[in-house]
Amino acid sequence: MKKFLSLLAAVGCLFVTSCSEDSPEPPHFPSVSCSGYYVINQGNYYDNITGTLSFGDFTEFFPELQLGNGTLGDTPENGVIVGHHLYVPCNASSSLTIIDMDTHSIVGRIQLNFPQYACTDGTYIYVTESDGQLARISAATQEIVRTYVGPSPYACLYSAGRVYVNCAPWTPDYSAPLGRSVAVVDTKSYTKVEDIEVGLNPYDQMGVDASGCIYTVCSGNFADIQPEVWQISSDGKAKKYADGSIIATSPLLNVLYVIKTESDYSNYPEVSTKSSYSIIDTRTGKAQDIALQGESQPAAPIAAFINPENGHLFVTSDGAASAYSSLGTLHEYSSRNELLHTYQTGVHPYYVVFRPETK
Amino acid sequence: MNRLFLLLITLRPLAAEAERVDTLREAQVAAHRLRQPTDVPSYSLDSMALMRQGTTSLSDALRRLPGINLRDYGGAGGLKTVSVRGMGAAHTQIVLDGLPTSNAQQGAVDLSRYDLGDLSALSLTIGEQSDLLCPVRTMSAATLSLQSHRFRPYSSEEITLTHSSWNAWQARLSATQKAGPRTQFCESLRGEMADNDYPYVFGGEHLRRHNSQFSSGRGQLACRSTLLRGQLDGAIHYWGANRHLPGPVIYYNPTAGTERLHEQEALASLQWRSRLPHPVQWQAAGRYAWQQSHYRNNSPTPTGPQRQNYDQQEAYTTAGLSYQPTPRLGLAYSADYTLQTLHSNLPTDNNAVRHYLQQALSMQYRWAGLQATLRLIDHYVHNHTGASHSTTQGQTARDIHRLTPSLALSYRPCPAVQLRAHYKEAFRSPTFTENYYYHLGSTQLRPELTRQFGTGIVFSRHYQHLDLTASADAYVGRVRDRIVSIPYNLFVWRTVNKDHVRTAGLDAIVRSTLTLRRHILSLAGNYSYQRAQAEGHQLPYSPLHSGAVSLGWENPWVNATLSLTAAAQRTTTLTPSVPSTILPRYHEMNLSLWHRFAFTRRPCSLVLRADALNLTNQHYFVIARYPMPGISYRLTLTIKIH
Repeated sequence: MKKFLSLLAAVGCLFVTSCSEDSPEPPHFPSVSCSGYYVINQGNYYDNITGTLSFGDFTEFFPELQLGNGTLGDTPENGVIVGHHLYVPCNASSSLTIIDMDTHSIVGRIQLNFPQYACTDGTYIYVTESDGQLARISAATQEIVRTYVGPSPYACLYSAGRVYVNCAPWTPDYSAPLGRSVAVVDTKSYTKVEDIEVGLNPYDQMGVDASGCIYTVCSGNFADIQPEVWQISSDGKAKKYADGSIIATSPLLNVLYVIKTESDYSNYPEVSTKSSYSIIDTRTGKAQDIALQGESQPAAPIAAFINPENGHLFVTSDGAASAYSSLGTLHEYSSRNELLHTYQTGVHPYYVVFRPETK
Repeated sequence: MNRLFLLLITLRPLAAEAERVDTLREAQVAAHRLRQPTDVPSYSLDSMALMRQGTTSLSDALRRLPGINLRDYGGAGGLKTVSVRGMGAAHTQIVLDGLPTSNAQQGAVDLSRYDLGDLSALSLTIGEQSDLLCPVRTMSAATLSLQSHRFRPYSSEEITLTHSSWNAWQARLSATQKAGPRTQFCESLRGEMADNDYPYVFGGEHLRRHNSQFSSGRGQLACRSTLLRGQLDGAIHYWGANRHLPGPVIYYNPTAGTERLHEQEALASLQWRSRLPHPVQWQAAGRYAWQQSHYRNNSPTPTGPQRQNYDQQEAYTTAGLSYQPTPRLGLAYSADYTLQTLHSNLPTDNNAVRHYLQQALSMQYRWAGLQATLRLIDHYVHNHTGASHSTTQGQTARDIHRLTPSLALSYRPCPAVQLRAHYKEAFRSPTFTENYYYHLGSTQLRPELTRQFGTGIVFSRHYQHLDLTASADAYVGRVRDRIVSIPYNLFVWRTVNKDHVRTAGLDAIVRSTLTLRRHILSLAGNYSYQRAQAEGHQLPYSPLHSGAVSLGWENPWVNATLSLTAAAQRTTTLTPSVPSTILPRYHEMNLSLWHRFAFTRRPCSLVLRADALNLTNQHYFVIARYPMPGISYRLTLTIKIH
């Protein structure tokens, strides 16, 4: 995994260099070989739907992997890969599930305190826990060390020796979000070094581009304060960057995909969702609206990811905005925004993690 | 509880004095009498039927009634609610000893607080009440009546000890005393506890239902005085329970089950029903009820441990007058007033007050084999909030005024056959939770309105050795302005009037007993076909087919009953998407054996009963992720002193 991350960084540097001149959209993406990708389907345990994994190897797509030694767990949130293992924090199951990617068998579970999200530096897995801790788990020994980052930590991201953590507390009655900060933990001292003020309710979307800029989606209050994308530069300064609720970026690129979705629930259960897509050159800040082509478009986008092998955009979606227990979809677009594939996934496909090629 | 016990002991000498030693003891004559069919679907189980059908719990007994959809969250103390004919649990009025009981906060009454051993009878009436004069609130879309008083024309005591699987123990002491020629007292005390950690299978793994301990106590004192012009009933009742709530089964989370619930309920009631020889009858009653619920969740949630305390009070009074100018015609007027209050430690749901005023005008006409009952009910609901109220957004739920009619017809072409039909409109107010609970509640909700039409046939006949009753009722119905929670956006949900539910179905029962010298064979069965659809899909947790059958053999040696309850597959969502959202069909088979030892020289008898529950060890779920117990036993010893 370390090699994979190093390769990502090296290719990123190459790409930054190559993009120093004004060039169009990334036509030739520096390739980092991937042997497949996992889709983490959250399920809905209230309706007796447990979390599942889908897997695609670029030739075939398996909507539900049959895992050895049990099931994934309830409410999986995301996934990170270290070595031959996929680590999936399962919130309701209060554990981190470890899956051997060669055999697709569950080889371990680490009990945590309602884990929310995981990131990695290639050696440790960092997991946010509901009681405000950031747990650091050694992939080699599974030793756990914790540090307090703030109330209701959610998404986290490792970049350049620091872990950035969205803190998203709500009022006790869950009627309104309160969080406006991203906590920064220095991985050497393993202590929080600062809180960076961002927009309202930084939640489940984070990314870093090739320049080392961090992006986080501040989801607003789901009423009059709309979701915003905030940028934290490498010197720790934060600013509002765009309007939108879903982002996708890559440490290989200086681009940021932004998806803005609006759902109208007034005629529930018929919920109409409008989504607009744009791509931003993060070096210049220049935004360009894009029109995804193809007949099958995401009905209610959940998240977006960039394939590090070819720059393709992957968008996950629910079957409909109100279909919390229906099968979701995964849409793959070329760098020219052409729809390449649409796959049916499990229920509520929440995250995609790309599996690096291993020798 | 202790005071009640002392009272029970002190009442015993009074009763003994009342029965003079030179007075012959009153004899108990047991005889079978076919129940007169009613002009609406009504199904009842008295203590004899409950014993013969081998019922082991209230939830088991409810499954023997057609049209009922029981939501059982499993195990002793697990939440149990009923809905009838797809109308929703809040449309079923629970009536305890003739007076309605309710839960203004949640709507549906948790039936786990009632134990079958405390009940002498239960009945389900759908559509309309047969009695011309009755409290207005009992004239709901469906009424489940529970009778807990066991007044007998002689003094008696009964001690029951029950032990069942998973360290469950129950002790019950009940007594009836005559305090004079016209007055009787009836007392009962019950205490129970259970570890309740039954094994279950989930996801192919064999697990145990931990964090499911339960303990409760109940005490009741009732008095009946038969006066010259009527009957006066008074009762006080207390119930308290401590439960660990295991919650839904979560994969691989051993720390789940941090919820606790402590509940208390106290009731006091007084009822008067006249028994005048002339055509004017009247009745009046009042009840005060206090309910307290303390919920704790010590889970390390982002907002810390949750503590929700609720106090509900209900003052209820009813009065009614009936007049029968001719033998064929009866008229009645009833009025109910209910005051409900809710206090809590929440920033919302606090100091909510509701007044109900309901009036019913009834007319019943009988001619030859025809009976027609016409009713018009006026409902007025006024909401307001207390002085320091802090309900949702500081608003008060809207007031409601509505008229609902009903008509029930029955015709008896011959003594053994009755044809019946009914049309009924009913409605329910939004609960306090639906009105005020945080941002989920909405003060703008309209009431849910139900309309149902049903028709049926009843056959009831007594042959030389055989009693046979069979009925079949078909129905269609509609629930308008169904109250549901929907997303206002991705994270914030609101409660609104949205769906319509259409129902159609068939309920059928058969009851028969064959008496051959010292042997009695009994067969009882019920079947329900229930189609309850919203948006063209069957409602979650509503099986299309459900039913029960029991076969009993009473003999001089050991009486035996084999019973089976079953339900077809159900879904957890309106639109099932993956196989796990379809819960497979289930059945549960029970075997009951019992024998009554009568002692000729002593005025007492002893009943020993052994039940084997879920004989086939089915691992099933009524509600997804709330497993039901597998095979288990139950041993009961009852000592009756006459």
